[in-house]
Amino acid sequence: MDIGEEPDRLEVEEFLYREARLLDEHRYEEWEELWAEDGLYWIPANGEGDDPDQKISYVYDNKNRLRTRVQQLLTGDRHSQLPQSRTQHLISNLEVTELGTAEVTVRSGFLVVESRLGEMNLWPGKAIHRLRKTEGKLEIVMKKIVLVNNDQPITSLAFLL
Amino acid sequence: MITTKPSYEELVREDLVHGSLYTDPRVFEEELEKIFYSGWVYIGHESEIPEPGDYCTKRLGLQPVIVSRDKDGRVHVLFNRCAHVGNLLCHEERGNSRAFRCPYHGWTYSNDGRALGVPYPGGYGESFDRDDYSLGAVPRVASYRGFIFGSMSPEGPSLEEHLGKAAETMDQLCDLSPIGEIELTAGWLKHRTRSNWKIVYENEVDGYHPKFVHQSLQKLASVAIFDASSEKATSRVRYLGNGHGDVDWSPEYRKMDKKFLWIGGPPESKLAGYVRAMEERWGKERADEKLIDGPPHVLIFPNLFIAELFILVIQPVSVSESIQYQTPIFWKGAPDLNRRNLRQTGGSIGPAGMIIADDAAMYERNQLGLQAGSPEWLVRKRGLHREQQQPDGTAVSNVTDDTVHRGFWRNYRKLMSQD
Repeated sequence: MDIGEEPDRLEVEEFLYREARLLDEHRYEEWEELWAEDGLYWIPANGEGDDPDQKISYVYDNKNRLRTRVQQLLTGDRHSQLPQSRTQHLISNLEVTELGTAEVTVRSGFLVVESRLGEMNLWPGKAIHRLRKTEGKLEIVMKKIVLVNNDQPITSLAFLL
Repeated sequence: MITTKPSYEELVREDLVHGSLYTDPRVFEEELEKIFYSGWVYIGHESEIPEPGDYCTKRLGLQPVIVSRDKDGRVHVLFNRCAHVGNLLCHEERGNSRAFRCPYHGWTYSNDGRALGVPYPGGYGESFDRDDYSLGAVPRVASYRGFIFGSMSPEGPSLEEHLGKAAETMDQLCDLSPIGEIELTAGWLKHRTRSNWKIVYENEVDGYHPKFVHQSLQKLASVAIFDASSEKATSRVRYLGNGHGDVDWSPEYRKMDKKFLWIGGPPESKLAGYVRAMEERWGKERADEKLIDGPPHVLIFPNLFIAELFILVIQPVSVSESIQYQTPIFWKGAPDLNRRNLRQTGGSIGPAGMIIADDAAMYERNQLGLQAGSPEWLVRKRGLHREQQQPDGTAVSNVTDDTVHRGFWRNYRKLMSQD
């Protein structure tokens, strides 16, 4: 195995922080570029997301669907993001497993604070990233977001977590 | 500002609706009594409790209820309140149990609501009879094609009478299954919106907005439903009586003469198993018609929206807040269709949905705008000059018209003006 193709922990941390900043700064096209062609962006509802082929998820996007989602935001006519949410991602509790291979799994805790139209919303949960290093760069193979309150009524989630 | 008790005869006119009906908390309280706690209200679906002992918890208006299936298969809608001192009896969303036991003092009930046990009954004296302490039950419960409704009025029109012509649209829905049944088993997306429940209802029968509200998607993809909601389209809105109404896309789909436009227009070969099963069930000609027409887009007053590919239940919370529960429809005996539908609706519905989140944005803006008191009236005049009133009280008009809204408000005025 090529030594340079194995991500280290610092690299993984910096990747997650950068990803979060791109989202907070609404730099959606650059965010999309972080994704592998076989990427899966998944926000399950009602628990951990046991069977996405039987149960509805808030988001279950392959790369194609994710691209549409980003394009929709970029049209300027995505009304649920007019005005745009102002957000701040906070990330902690990082655990990286499978270090020493080309694909690693990163578990983290997050809190996203969202302000929009006079309301402040909190979006707490855990994220599981599957990251792959190819040609010296990390890309997202899977990002699964389990919101703490994903079984409760939530307000519109038209920005990206 | 209204200072006396609202007069619904005044506040609802044939083509104008007063803004205070969406913002006055007294109106909301009265709606609970005269609409949600008087008439038939959608509660749940039989597929959520398929087996004896299955139960799920829901709300009827603001009141928590347990929908249960007893050992003989009968469906009960019980108030989720211990008959002792009113503790919430069951906190689970669903499950299977023969009995419910209150955690407070251990009173237990069978899943048909009868009291089974009261600890230390001697403390209540000899005259105590636990049979007097059953769970409260919704007085009338009835199902149509698997949809369970309840009514708090012990007497009144039957469910069939309440549904009237809208029952045909529920047949249209279920008959897209080769077995004639749908299932709601994908779980619910629970979407909180800061808007009055009537705004949600009215948006869903509004064929005027899609080209504006969903413009962002139209720029990216050709979606048949958006073409079908043009003023030039042959689609139509229909007021069906008793507050129900639909948007009927089928004339436009028939004109295009193509199957499956209602689910993204895949080639028939992608759903070959389903097409075969439908032809076996209905014969080629009728199956073809059904697969062109697709499922209904119908509002069943006051809280059930059958939205072609998914169900949306409107849950009022307060005068300025509602929850919309959404789940994709699965048609029994149609696994290939259901797989496709889960993926397709998964992108459209719920808080992150590429369609529904933008509708919710409009509801919330609507609620915010209505905080302004002037002009006082909402304009519901569209199509007044061209709608066709039918002798049976129903009406049909151009897809962009307010015909269903006017019917909804006539029915509302009648219900709310009763003492």
